[in-house]
Amino acid sequence: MENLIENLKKQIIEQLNLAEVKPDDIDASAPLFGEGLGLDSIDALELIVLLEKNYGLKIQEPKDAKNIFQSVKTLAEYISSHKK
Amino acid sequence: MSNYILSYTKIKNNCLWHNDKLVSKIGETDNFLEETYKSLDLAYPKFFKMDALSKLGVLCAEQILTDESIRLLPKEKIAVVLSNKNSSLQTDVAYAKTMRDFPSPSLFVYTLPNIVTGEIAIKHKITGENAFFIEPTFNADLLHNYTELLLQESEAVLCGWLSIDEKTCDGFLYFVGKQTESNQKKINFIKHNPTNITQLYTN
Amino acid sequence: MVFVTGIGTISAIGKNVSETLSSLLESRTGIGKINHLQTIHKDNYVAGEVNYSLQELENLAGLKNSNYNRTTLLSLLATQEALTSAGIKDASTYRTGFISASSVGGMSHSELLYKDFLEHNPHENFIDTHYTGAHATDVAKHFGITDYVTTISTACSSAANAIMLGARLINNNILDRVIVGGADALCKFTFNGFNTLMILDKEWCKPFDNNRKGLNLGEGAAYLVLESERVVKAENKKIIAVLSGYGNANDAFHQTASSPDGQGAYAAMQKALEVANFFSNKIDYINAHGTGTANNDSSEAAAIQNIFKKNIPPFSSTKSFTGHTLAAAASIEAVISILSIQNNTIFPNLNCVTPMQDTTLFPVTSLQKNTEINHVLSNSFGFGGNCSSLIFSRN
Repeated sequence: MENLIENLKKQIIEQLNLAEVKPDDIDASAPLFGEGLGLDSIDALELIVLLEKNYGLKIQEPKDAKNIFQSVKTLAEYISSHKK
Repeated sequence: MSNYILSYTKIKNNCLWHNDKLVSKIGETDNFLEETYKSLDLAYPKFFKMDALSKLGVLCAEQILTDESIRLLPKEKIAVVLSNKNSSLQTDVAYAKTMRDFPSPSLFVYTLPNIVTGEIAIKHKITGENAFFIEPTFNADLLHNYTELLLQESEAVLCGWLSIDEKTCDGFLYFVGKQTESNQKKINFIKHNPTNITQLYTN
Repeated sequence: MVFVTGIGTISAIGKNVSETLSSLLESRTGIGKINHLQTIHKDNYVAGEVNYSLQELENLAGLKNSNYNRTTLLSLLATQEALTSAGIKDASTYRTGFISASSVGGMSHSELLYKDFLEHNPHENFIDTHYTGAHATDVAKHFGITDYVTTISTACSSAANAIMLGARLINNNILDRVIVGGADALCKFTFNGFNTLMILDKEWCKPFDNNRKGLNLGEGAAYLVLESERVVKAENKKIIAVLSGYGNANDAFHQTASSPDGQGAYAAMQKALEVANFFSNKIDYINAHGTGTANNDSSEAAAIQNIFKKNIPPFSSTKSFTGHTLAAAASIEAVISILSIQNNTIFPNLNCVTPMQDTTLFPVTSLQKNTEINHVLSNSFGFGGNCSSLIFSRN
């Protein structure tokens, strides 16, 4: 899980063009949206792409994504439990 | 009452000029826009999410809109009128490439030329009128004409030409407004007419 | 004063004004299966497609081997109708302009031909027509309009901005008349992109419905002929409507989403009312932007509430008829607003059943005839925060 979280942090930084952010800056339990990294609706769509591109997991409804993308930790848990 | 060009910036040949003073000179590099951003110390992380056209526009607008006397103008009375020939072509191509396997929503967002006016408006909280014209070449007459019409209701207009392709950035923004007590001693006044606009663009 | 003396339109609900009116009066949507656009999404989505192939559009325009792309042909057909309806045979008799809006330009052609072009078979003509301004240049040339020609590209509010610019040029005596509007064709690039943003509804859209899932794309073109008082008098022109007000503002919130309380929309509507010199209670009907997305419809409802307070006029989104025609939307909806005045009828917001939870506003959902309509407010809000509103009035 630790490995997955670390990898996810790097992938998120790359996918979302968070150029001035380092993996160590991201708290795995902190909210991704609103506060924390302050991501927006387009970033959420890019995370949906990331999930499909890197992990083969497809989210059909954007509103399902809200809980999955709460934090890096919840995202990692989703991937762990759904990965083929 | 006459209208004047109160401030102008140019990005050309990897240099950023403000009112003919060199602000930043970055050598030959693929990351010219990002390097210019760093040299200006802008502290605006959203910059890195933008496409090249929006980055160019935001960089050109910065020196003008943070100028002391311009910064204090009422934001709902500032209009933004930009133009180019290629619309968002460079980003269109980049998005088209992602269409093959994983289309990128954050790239698609920028496949319209007027998103750059939106980015400038968001950063500086400008809520006045805004337009984007597609013209085969830089058209000082069109910009002059439209700006004079807008100044009947707006207090000032940020105008210009933002053009980007694989090899070059060509950015020219200028701010048109009135001579007032507060800006009188601080800014050079250039009469707003197509000849002066063209001269500033081609210098 | 700026007078509308001609109108022309082509969209999924008709190839001209008369067919468009019939569809509206019969509550007959043009949204349905995609027949002509060859997209991978063809079987999964519906759209407001103009039901003619490229060849058929050329035939309708009376042309052969024109090399015009779909956007240009749609533009040409609607312009032709507008000019005819205004009784204009020779554009050179007065200072005449053509201001057209587009977002797609020649993309519908380019995306089909560029692979071939790269490999072995250059269709050179199409390269020149890719550029967004090409359609305006081609159509202006076709009709001999030379005094002022330009292209506006501000997403979904583009055609409204073209109309506004035209009005200003006439009011300032720079032009005597101007043909204003926009055109956009469906293309794979657009379909793909909106799908990526997850704002497309796979089924028929439901503007202002609590269970709305997104928009349906559409295509088409529409133009208005605006003329000055001097020309109207000199030529004894029949006045179709008056452009009483217009306003534009930037929402300054997000690249594509609208602010929750619709500040940009509010400012645009407010400005339009100020230009018209009306109180808000003079508006008899609002033709809303109403795309059917969760974001727009909430935001627009909030803005309408803030402007009109206790006296909300009847409103509807006719995108449930035409789909979202992007850069042409504001001009197609301008024609529909004018038809509303001419026929004293409010056209329904089709497919809306359940009121939105976050507002008390609910649109008109069935055809309302015999309703005195003197002033219509038409909204168009584009990506990039570009918000525009127009007010049309009975003469």
